[in-house]
Order: sequence, then C-alpha cells, then structure tokens
Amino acid sequence: MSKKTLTLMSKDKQLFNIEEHLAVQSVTIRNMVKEDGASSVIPLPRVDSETLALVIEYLNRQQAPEEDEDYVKKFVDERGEIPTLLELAQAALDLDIKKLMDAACMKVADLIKDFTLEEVREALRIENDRTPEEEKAIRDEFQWAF
Amino acid sequence: MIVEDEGDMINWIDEEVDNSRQIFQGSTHEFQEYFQRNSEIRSNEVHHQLCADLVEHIWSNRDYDGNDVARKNMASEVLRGSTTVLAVIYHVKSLDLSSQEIRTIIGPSMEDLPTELTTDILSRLPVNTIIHCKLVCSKWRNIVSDRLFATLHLSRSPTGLIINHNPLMYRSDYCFPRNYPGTLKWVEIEDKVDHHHLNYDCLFNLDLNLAPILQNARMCQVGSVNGLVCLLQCGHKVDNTYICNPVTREYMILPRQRSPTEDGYLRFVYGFGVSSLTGEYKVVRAFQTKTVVRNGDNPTAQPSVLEAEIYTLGIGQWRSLGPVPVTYRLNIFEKFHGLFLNNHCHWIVRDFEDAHEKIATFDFDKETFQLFPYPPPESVKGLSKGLAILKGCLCKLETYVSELTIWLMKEYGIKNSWHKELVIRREIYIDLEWPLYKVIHLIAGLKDGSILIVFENKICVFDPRSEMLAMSGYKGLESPNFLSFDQCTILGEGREPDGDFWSNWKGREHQLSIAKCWPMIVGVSNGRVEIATLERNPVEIDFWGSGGASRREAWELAPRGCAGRLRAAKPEASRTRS
Repeated sequence: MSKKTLTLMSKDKQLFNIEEHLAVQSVTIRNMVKEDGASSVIPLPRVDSETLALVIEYLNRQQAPEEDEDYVKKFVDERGEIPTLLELAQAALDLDIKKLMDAACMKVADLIKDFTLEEVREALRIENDRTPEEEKAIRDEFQWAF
Repeated sequence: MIVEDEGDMINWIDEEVDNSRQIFQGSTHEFQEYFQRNSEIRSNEVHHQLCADLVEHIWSNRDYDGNDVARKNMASEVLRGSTTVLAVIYHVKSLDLSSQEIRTIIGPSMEDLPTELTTDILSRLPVNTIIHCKLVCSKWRNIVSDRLFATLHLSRSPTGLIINHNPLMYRSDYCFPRNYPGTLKWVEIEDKVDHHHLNYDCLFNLDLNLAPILQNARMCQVGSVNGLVCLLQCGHKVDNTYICNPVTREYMILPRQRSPTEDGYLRFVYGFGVSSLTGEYKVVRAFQTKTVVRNGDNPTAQPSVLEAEIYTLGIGQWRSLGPVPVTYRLNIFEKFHGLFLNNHCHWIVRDFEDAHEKIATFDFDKETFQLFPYPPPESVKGLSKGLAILKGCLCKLETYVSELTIWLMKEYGIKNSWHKELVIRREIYIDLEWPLYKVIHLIAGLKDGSILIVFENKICVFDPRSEMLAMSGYKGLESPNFLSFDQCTILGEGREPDGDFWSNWKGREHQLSIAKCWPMIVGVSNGRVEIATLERNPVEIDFWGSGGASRREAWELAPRGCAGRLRAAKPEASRTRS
C-alpha cells in the first residue's frame, strides 16, 4: 500500500512533499485533511522555504517516543540562532505543532534570559518606543531589580 | 578596516590580528597605538558608518546581480557578526527597503511575530527577569501586565520554598527580644523524578527587620497561594495582615478587621485562599472574643460565639459572615492557620462537647464552613497534630514520643480513603531534636519520593524507601519560623487598570498606602516611604532613620540577587537619607 503524500507550498512558492501520516502531526494540516481530503497543494503563506524545510525535517524524524523529547531539544539546540528559532516557532504556531513550538520558545527564552535590555532589543530587533523619561520612571519603580 | 569586493565575496581585513603580530614586548608606543586603533575599530560611530557603507554596497550590487538568494547569503554572512544590528536596520530603512526585504536579509523581528508567540516565549523566562521585560518596549510591558500572562507564567514557574529565617526564635535566653520579624528567604526546588536539589540563593533574601513597620513584631504565616504569601504580624498591640509577593517585593496591608471588643480576642485563626470560580483572593478569619460574665462577685471571662469575617482582595473591607454554624462549639487551635487545598481551607478543631478532634473547612466559593471527614481515631493520643499536603493530598501529622505518623487522604473528601501513609520513628535519627508539643511541619513530597520535613529548626529530607533522614546542608536555612511551599510567580505585578484585582487593590486601598515594593525598597528610591499607621492615617516614616552603614550594607547585599544580575546603575547611596 502506497503511502499518501501531501504537498506543502511555502511563502516563496516552493513545493515540499511529505507523507500524510507524518504531516498530520501538525494539527492545522490534520484539520485540513479531515475537511477536504487535501488533495491539492496546501499553501503556507507565512512560512518561508528554509523554515519549512526545517519543519519537514522535524516531521520526518524517526524517533522512538521515549527519545522524542531529547530529539526535539537537540533539534532546536542545533539551530540556536534567534532569527531561525523565531521563524521556526512561528511556523510551529501556524501549523500547530505543539512540541516544536514549546521547544523553540523555550530555547529563545533560554537565550535571552541573561541578556541586558539592549541586547534583548537587538537580538529580537525591537525598537524602544519609550522616551527616556518613561523608561526612567519604570526603572525607579523597580529600582531593586536593576 | 576596509571592505573589499572580490567577486561575490566580501572580506573583512582583520587588522587586529595583523597588529597584534607586530607588537613586541616593551614597546609602549606601539602597544598604545594598538589599543587606540582597537578602540577606533570598536567605536560605534565607525561601526555604523561601515554598516551603512556595506548596505549601500550590497544594494548597489542589486541591479546587476539579480540573484536574491546569493545577495541574502552575502548580507547575512556579514551581518551575523554585527553587534549593532539596529544600526544596520536603520540604514536599510534609509535605503527604502520594504520590511519584507529587511526580514529577508536579517531575519524576523519580534515585532512581526504574533503576540501569542511573544507571550509564550516571555512566559518561559525566569521570574526575576520579567521586570526587565517591562522596559524593553510598550508591547512587552502590556504583555507581561496581562492577567492571562500571569496565569501562564504561574503554570510554568518552578516550585519553591519561602522561609522566614528567624534565629532569635530559638534562643533559650528569654531576655533577648523575641519580637523580631526575621528574614524572608527563597529556595527554589529542582524537583525531578530521579533527583531533587534545593537551590538557595542568599542574595535573594528579604530582610524584614529593615522595614520600620515590622520592627518589634513577629511574623506568622497564614498561607500562600499562587506565589502570594499572607503574613500576620503578631506583636504587641498589632495584628496587621499583609499580602505580599516576595518575588516582586510588592505588598499590601489589609485594613484592620471590624473592631474587636475592648477585651480583645480570646482566639483567632486565619485562612488565605483563592476562589476557583471568580479567581478572587480572600482572607478569612474566625475569632472568638471575650465577654465578661458577672457571676456573683467574681467576674469571669467567657468566650463568645465563634464568628467569622472575610476580606476579598480588591473589595476594600472586611465582610462579616456571622457566627460560624458548624464549628459553633468548637475550639479552634490557636496558631494553626488554614491549610489551603482544593478550594478549601482546613483547620483541625476540637469539639467542646465530646472533646474529639475534627477538621473544619471553609469553602472559598460558597464562603461557608463545614465539617470534614477525619481519620479514624487512634488508641493513643498524639501530642501534637498538624495538617499538610503530600502528593497533592490532604494529610494529617501526629507526633508521639517515639514516632511521627502521617495519615493521607487519598481521595479528597472520601472518609474511607484515609490511611496511614508513613511512620517516621524517632530512633532512626537520634541527634534530631524531636519536638513533642510543637507541630512538625511537613513541607512537601518531591517527585523522587523524598519528603521535606522541618524538625524544630532544621529542614530535613526523609527518604521513605531507605528510611534515611538527612538534614539539608544549607547554612542560613536553619531555624525557620514558618515555611510555605509554593510556586514563585510574578502574579500581581503592577497592572493596567482593567478591572482585575491588583489594579483594584491599588485603586481602592490606596488610602491605606499600598507601597509598590517593600518599604525598604521604596525607602531607597524616594528616601521616604509612606506607610499606613494603625490609625489608618498615612504617615511618612523616614526609612533609613539612624540605621547607619550596616543597614545600608545589608540592603545592598539583599537586592543584588533579585534580578540575577546588576548591570545597570547601582542604587544611589547618596539618595538615601542618612
């Protein structure tokens, strides 16, 4: 019996094939398959091809359930760069793959927890939208924490 | 430092390396020059200029090099090492790149991500860095101020132990002042299936002795829920109730109870819990007042009926619940405050009529008292008793001369599920002080099967399999006055006024002067702190008073560990009043 294959399309229109029984680890895809059989291509407009390749690599893993936890951890550890992890987490959120999202978010939190404010803003590319006065007010309020 | 175009490659000529090769020992001039150049290379201005040049360079290549992927690789290769990515973004923006193109070059910004994802990531941060998140940007501040965030963070935060360390409590010489609030200490428990570990960070201590309102008072713990601790100040003529969050150092003083009679209380007991239906935090107290009965010429004090009143955090006043119907004739043990489990507070009570011990509960949803199934009576009466939680179940501890028994109620509320879970015999640990008439505190059952117990003034770990009892070897954790096993959370940090309980606290009870932090901290930032007196009139108290240097040192030691790092400005000593 041949296994059914699904085709996923990334934001930049690249196509990826994946076996259906592996793809349905994603709750989003599972629901789509349930609804209309998903014979056609599944578009993922927010996921770029590099991230999708990672997600597919993750979905294709062949791990015993008891090693799975370690595998997910290692999987995100090896891609320990914040931009990649954020893309991965967002893809996992869109596709509703809980384990992957948990691991990616945990890794980002681990990476940024020892950063200074400036480092956090830089790593996550956040612009400080507050005036120095506002910032000082908060600093004063929680002076003991700094 | 120059950028050279060699076909597709961009090379950074690293002058640092070249330079260091030329340095020979003893040449101060070249050595200085090296550092000068080094600092030039590292100067922000130069760096920004270089980044700008670089982006321009990449950009100018765009027209004839149509290969997007190659360009992206090239840019990310170079920018990966860049420490000031913001500067690059700035220049990229000035070149009119669309946000999509920026994202293609240097990866996503947290700002593009769904809030859900940001919330998820932030909820995994340790509690002491949450305050830093408030400073990053307004979006983050809003996220961490959200009530749902607090709930999410709580579900992920580790369990810990809040200890009130009070060595003076155990001194034998009675002339020493015993009314002494002690120090709050925080122990995080690493609780794994195969091992456990207590992480004690002495820098996290919160010295209550430094707070003027707490001086000459003893602190008792009522209970703790979701990281909030309810403390009772039981000194001479004071019985203030505090709700505090030791992690954020926020606290509030509850208003005084409805006035007791002049004769005072005969006995009272507290309970602190949260309603599962409304999520409201409540403090309940049951009390008996004395009434003087004139029996001929001899006036005698008689206990009045047991009454109860309740305080819902955010409402602002105590509400009477009237006489306690079930425990009408019961004599609640003093000093034993309610144990919160399963939406109820539990107390051991004694029935006046048949002298039997029973358990009374208070339902935080329905706000009613009830009697609760008690374990089968034993032939020999124990010397002291207490309630605790083990493996999520209610259990009763009973101390005898030779042993400690632990009864456990496997299914909550089912009388038949009471069974004797554990017996710890005194002979296995001879050196241990075995308190006969004091409650032995059982703190927690850990996932690896061991149990944390406090004997008199030592925290011990008991392993039921090997029957080994070992003292936790932490200096500074001996002599605990009270303990609470709870999660550490940011619950109750300053919130936007969206109607949830914490904002209500700040709004309605402001006249009672809710300091945002512990007074010692407010004292540092303002020099003065406003604290409600017993008469409810806010007064200014000079925090530092004439405390002198030693107190300041003590303070400086205290907050350092709170954030885990002290990179920003140190507290300005000059601002404190001396």
